[in-house]
Amino acid sequence: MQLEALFNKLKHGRRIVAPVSREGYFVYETVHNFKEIAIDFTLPIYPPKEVMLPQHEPVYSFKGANVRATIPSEKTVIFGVRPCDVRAIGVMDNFMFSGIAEPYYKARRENTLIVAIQCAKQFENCFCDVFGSFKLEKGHDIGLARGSGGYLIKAGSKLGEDTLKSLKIKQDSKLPQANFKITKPHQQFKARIGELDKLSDSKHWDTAATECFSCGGCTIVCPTCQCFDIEDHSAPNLATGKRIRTWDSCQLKPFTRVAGKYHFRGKRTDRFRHRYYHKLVWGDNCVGCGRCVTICPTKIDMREVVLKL
Amino acid sequence: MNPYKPKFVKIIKVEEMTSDIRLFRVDFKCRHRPGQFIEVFLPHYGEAPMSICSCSTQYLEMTVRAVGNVTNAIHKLNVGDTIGIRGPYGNGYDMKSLKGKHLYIIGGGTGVAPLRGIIKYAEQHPKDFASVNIFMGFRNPEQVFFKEDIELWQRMFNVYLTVDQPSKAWRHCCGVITTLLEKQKLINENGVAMTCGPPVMIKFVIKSLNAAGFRNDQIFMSLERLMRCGIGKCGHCMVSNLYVCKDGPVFRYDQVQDKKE
Repeated sequence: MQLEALFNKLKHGRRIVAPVSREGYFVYETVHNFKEIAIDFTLPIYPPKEVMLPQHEPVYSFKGANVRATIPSEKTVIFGVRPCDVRAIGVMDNFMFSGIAEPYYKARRENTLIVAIQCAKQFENCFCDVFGSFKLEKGHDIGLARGSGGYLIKAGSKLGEDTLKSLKIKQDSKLPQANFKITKPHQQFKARIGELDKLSDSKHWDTAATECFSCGGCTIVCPTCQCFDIEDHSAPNLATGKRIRTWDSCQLKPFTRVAGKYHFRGKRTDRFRHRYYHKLVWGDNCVGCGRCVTICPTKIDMREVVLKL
Repeated sequence: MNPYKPKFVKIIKVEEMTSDIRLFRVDFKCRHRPGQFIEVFLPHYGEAPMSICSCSTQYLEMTVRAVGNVTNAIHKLNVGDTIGIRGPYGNGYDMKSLKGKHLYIIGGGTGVAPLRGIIKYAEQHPKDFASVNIFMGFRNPEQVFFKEDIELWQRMFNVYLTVDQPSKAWRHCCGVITTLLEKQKLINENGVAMTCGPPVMIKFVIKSLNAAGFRNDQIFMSLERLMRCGIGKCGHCMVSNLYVCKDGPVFRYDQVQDKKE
């Protein structure tokens, strides 16, 4: 299968979001021509979560007690998702769909087709070998892997099967799987993760947190971070207004501010540690994509922090 | 069903409790448990989580202290005005599971509000409990609210009041609430304690309860955090791995005693 042919077939009636090159980084953007895509992309610094969870999502507009909500319905293809990000989307789906499902995420997710591309090798800060998230197993709709003279293609879901059938694309019988062996330092990291529930009082949390600016960069680039705020905006004439859901971060001090100006996680160490436990202990919420390591302005590496506890 | 859309209802009663606390009764009919909360929306001001302090399927009551933008704006509303409500959210107290027990309801300051729903339930089902013992502490006599309710409760149940700074006319106890607790004989066998108030008060109340023989699985507390979405998704109300809006706000103490912020 040639990627350009697949792209041209998929774009009918769908918006395509794919990795492009911007100022030395790869990012996901809406593209109209195959030539805009950076085929040699490594790992886009921003994860594809923005398709299902835009940074600013209009929730409803209101005029007095008259509230009007518009649930999004645009069909989108994310063309070029790494296996670790596919797993991350699965983590986010499980969370957002559980209990009272988040309706805007759900609507966007149900209208999104994921085209995953296998990794031939690991990139600079990847630690997907710790979690096995380099494996492309489920969560994607169409899977691609480099073969001789093009790409091998296989559906990963019923939606993928139906789509390939309707586009008259012949599937390959099997997709090869990447097999990145876990490195020795990563083995130690993985073992330490298993001990984290006993290490919440370690003095190293304070030491590690002194390097942190609480800038929130790690939560912006993390493919499983989805915390949000709800803001109400008013038109200057106060006749109408709108409610917007925006990205928020547990790393920012006002995240736990309550009436009376009290902050439950006012101490940087508390905020810093909270993220580690949320990602590594309270569920399989880290996929080892390494973006937090890449983006951190003071080069804090999650693996080093955990090993020093 | 969109969980972000509020339902607009009319205010049917406004009662001034203290200089900055008002009770609002709204025409919102729903089945709810004591200890649950709602998100209250005032267009152009915003949304704030409020404890439900009633126990009725015919209306909902909340006690609002004017501390910020939204609450100050709510205080300007009158009977007949509309307000947006989302909810009820949270787990609340499972009152049926407490049948036959000695209830110890211990509240300090605004912490008294979520506990009022429990006492209202007991008013409606007085024979359900072995005893109902209410301990309330306030800063001074002007800060005492639910005065009318307290008068009724003093006739039906055992009520003990204290203030930090008494006035000349104050005829009850003075001092912190733990002094009140230590003066009474608390029945820990088949007893359950429900407490709500400032964190430092809860800390010392638990110490007193433990000293009286209450195990940590006999103590319930209502935790307060910033509940933004109310549906367990936005992350603001997390205490360790628990969502106060979904796993709480009512928690059994032994389930949270080791949790870090």
